[in-house]
Amino acid sequence: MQKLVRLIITCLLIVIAIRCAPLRDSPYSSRLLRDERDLNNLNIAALSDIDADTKMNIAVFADSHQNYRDLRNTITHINRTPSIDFVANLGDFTNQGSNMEYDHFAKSYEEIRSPKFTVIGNHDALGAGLFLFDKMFGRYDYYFESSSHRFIFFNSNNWETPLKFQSLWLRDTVSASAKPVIIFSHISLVDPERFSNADGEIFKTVLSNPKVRLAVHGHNHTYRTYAVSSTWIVQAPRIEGFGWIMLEVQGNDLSVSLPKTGHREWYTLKTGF
Amino acid sequence: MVYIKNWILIFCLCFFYEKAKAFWNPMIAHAGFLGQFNAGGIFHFDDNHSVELNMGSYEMDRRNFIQINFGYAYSPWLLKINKFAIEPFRFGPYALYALDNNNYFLQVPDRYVARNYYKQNGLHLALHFGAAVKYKENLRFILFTMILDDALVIMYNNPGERIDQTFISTGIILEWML
Repeated sequence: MQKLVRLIITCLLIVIAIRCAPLRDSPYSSRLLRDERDLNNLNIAALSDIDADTKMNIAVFADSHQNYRDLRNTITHINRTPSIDFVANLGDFTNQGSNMEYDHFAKSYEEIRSPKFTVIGNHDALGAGLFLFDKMFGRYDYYFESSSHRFIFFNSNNWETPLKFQSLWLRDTVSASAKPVIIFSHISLVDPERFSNADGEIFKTVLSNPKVRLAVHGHNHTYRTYAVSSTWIVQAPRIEGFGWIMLEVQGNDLSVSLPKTGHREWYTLKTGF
Repeated sequence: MVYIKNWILIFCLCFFYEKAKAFWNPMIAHAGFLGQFNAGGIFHFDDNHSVELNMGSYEMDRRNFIQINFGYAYSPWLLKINKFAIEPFRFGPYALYALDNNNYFLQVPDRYVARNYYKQNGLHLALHFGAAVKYKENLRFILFTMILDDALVIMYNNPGERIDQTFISTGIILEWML
């Protein structure tokens, strides 16, 4: 009888072990468990008219890393905020660019109800991250347009993705635009450690282009605004502790608000174009 | 590449050196975090203690790479029922190491400004727990669940977060008892 009880307990433990988790792949591989693919292109296709009203509302979050609880809270809050035209995730949604982190992030990311776009962060490109990003989100550099603006999402991770880093692509995409441009990247285009070389010169040219109205980036984990060549640059805070920002563009006016503190600032965008 | 050769040499010594060969039981596995397909050996100190050394394969961008894994298992109980010997619970630590030094590193590559710019990503530590069933003294099945170091950090930083479908994996090992 005692042996039978032990046998039943053993069988139960085996069943629990199997049910406890899927048989997923090595943490080093580029295989994903979830089936989301090419999300940026799907969201471009699903984008409605951003310029339907006169105001453009863009929710921005960055550097969620492994702060999944804060990410979920932020997404809940973004979903409750009315009139968001699209959501920009400025990268570093993983620590090591592993398949598990991509899968776990996607669970929350798919909860965002507005159209959403992601740019790759330096941490997301580590290990198998570059291949995983390609699978889940699509191209590293891309853009889309509304009737009033061109929105460029640019991979600025020169050290992590030397073969996929295309500073000239950014310059040419800005030059070719017939509309004012807003640039989203993970790392600032004027990062002194990374872009003190020829790329830095290219980015200076980009930011001094009259078409570029605004550049938004993450990476440094704190909120900050500054201007380079009369172009306003907004540095998004990390998501930890509910740090996301809302950009409202109406005509030449930019309003940046931080829902965490209720703080709001106003800027005038350059009008050279 | 030098690292890979060294590891393969160590691995071969463990299994093909005559004295070692007498103690190591061969194993194959479909092993989740230990690699999609996996082969190696298990060394039993006694009924309660064993160590496992194996190599697993994983795929990155349609290319196959190798990882090497080393773990220890403790089985507190052994139940013998007819032709079966059952270990209802076995557990222990595991170390996983990627041999691909282009994408994974223990020390941050020189192109970064500081040595602590990133945490190493080539070595993972894990905890495994599961059960084993031995049949007729020569065939042993091990079923295990493995929790990675990342999962423990995430559980600590995100109380209540459900990570079972992403940061925890199961695996199956088949061992020949020589």
